Amino acid sequence: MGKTGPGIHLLRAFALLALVFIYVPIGLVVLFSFSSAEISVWPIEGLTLDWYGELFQSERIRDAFLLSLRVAAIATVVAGILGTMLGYAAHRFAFPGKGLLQRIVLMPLVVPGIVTGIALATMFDQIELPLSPSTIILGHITFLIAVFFTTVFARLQGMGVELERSAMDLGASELRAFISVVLPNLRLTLLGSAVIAFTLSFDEIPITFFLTGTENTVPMLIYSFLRTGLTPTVNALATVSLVISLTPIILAGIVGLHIQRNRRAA
Amino acid sequence: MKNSVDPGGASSASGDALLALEGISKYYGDVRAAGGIDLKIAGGEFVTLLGPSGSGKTTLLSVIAGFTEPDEGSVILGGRDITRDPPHKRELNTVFQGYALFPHLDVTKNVAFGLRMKGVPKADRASRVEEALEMVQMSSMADRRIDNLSGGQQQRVALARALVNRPQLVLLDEPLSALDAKLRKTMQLELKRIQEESGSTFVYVTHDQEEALVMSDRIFLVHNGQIEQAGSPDDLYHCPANRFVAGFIGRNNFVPGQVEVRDGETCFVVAEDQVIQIAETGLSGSAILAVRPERLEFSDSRSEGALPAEVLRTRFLGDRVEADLRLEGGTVISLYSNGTGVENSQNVFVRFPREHCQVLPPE
Repeated sequence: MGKTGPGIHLLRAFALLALVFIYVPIGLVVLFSFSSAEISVWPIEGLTLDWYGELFQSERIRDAFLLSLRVAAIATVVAGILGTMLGYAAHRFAFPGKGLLQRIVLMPLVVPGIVTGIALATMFDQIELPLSPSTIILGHITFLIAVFFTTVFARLQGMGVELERSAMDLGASELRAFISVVLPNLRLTLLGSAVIAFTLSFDEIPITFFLTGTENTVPMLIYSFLRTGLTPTVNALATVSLVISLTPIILAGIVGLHIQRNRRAA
Repeated sequence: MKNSVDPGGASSASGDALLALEGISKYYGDVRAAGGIDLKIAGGEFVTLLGPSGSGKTTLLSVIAGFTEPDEGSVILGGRDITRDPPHKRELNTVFQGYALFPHLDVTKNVAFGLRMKGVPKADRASRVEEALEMVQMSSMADRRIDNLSGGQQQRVALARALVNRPQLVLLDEPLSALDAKLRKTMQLELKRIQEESGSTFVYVTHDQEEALVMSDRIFLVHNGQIEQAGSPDDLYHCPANRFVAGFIGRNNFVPGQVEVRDGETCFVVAEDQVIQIAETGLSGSAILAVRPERLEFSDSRSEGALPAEVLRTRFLGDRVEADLRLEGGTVISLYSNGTGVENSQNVFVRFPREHCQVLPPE
C-alpha cells in the first residue's frame, strides 16, 4: 500500500469499474424484483412483494426449485463420493492408464456443455433410457466428478503419504487409516468442492437442456420464460436463485473461518 | 554388544536377536536399494543405519516397517517371520522424517491414536498417554493443537506417539533433520536418554555421521545397498574396514603405496625413499594408508616415518589450524595443528605416527 501515484489511482478506477460492471446488473435484477411496475423501468415508482407471492403460488416454479435442489444435492453427493475415490486411487496406487485417467477426467469441464449434452442425449437414446430427472443428474455428475477429483487429488498430494502410513504404523488397517486420518484432513477440501459443485449444478443449462424430460430445473424454466415474455416474476425468481447459489458459499466461508479461528485460538 | 569388524554384523547379536534381516534384496528397476542384506539387532540396542543419501538405508527401514516389500529375503521380529505382514500388524512403531502428526487431532489424541486402534480401554489410555508425554517432557502441552507446536516439540510428540504403544522396536527415519543445529544436538542426547529410560530398541536412520557416533551402540554403515561395516562407533572410527568407511566417518587422508617387509619391519612404501613404518597387517602389495588429520604432526627433520611435503595453504579454524600439504608424489593431505606458524610454499616434514596409520585394501 506504500506506493502512491497516478498509476495506483488509475488501477483503482479500473478495478472499481470492473466491479460495477459485474455487480450492478445483478443488483438491478434484485431491485426490480421489488418494483411494483409491470415492466422493468428506472426509477422505481413503488415497492411490492407481489412478484414473490406469485412465485410461491406458482406450482411450476415451486416444482422447478425442488427439482433443481434435488438434482444439485444428489449430483454433488454422488460426484463427491466418486471423485474422492478416483482422487484417492490416483494418489495412492499405480495402475495402468493412470496418466490417461488424470487427463481425461478433466475433459467434461473443458468440453463445451452442448457437446456433452448432445453426446449424453444420444447415448441415453441408444440405451433407451427415457429423459427424466435421473438423466439430468447423470449429466451433472459427469463434470462434477472432475471438480472433486482435481481438488481431492491436489490435497492428497500436498498431504503426502506419511500421515496415512503413520496411521497404519500405529495399528490402523488401510480402511481405518482412510476414515480416521485421510478423510478428516479432506474435510475442508470436500466442503469447498461441494459448494462449487452444488452451485455449478444449480446454474447449469447447456447439458441440462438436452437431458430434460418433462420436468424443468430453475434455469431451464427462466429460459423458457423468454418465449412467453419476461414478467417481473422472473426478477423475483432470479433473486431467489441468487440467494440459493450464494448461501452455500457464505456458509462454507463461515465454517472455514470458524475452523481457522479455532485452530489459532487453541 | 560390542563387536569388531564384521560386515553384516550377523554374529554380533548372540542367540535370539530381536530383529533379523535375512538376505533382503530390493531393486527399483536397475537400481539396487538392497543387495542381500543380513543384519541382527538385539533387544535394548540403539542401532544406526548410517549412509549417504541413496545408499538404501531408508529402503531397509521401510522394509522393516512393512511399507516396502522386499524382492527377496525375510524380516524376523521377535522370532516370527513378518515379511508378509501389513504395517498395522507389526509390533513396531515409526517416527517419521516429517513427524506425520495428525493435524486434526490435539497432542493427547495424537499420542492416544495407537492405543485407540489396538482397543486399549479408555482408562488405561489416559494414564499411558500421560506417562509417555512425561517421558518426552511434553505434559504441559497435552491439549495443544499440532500446528501450535515448534519443530522440536512436534518431534517429542512423535516420539511419545510411538513409545506409548510400548513397541518391541522403534524405527526413526532421520527424525532430527528438520531441526536447527543447536536443537539437534540437544535432541541427540534426549533421544539417547529416552531410549535408555524406555528400554526400547531403536533403529535410527541418518546420513549424519556425527549423529550416529554420538547416539549409537552400534552402527551399520550402508552404501550401494550393502553393509560396508557394522560395529561400535569406536570400531568404525578407529578400525575402518575399507576406504569408504574410513572416508565417510570423520575426515581422513589417503596415501597410496605398497606394503613391504624391510629388515623384519612392516613398512608402507610411498616412494623408494619415502617409507613409513607401520604396525603388522594382513595386507601386502598395493594398499592405501589412512591417517586422520588430527594424528599427523609436523616434524623438524627427516626423522623416522616423516615425509617431505610442501604447504599449499593454511586455514584458521579457531581451535586449530588446518594445513593442506602436497606430498612429493602429488597426493594432497590435510593436517590439524595448534597453530605453530607454517607459511604457504614452505617445505616441511610430516610425521605419520605408527600407531595411527591404518592400512586399507586398494580399491
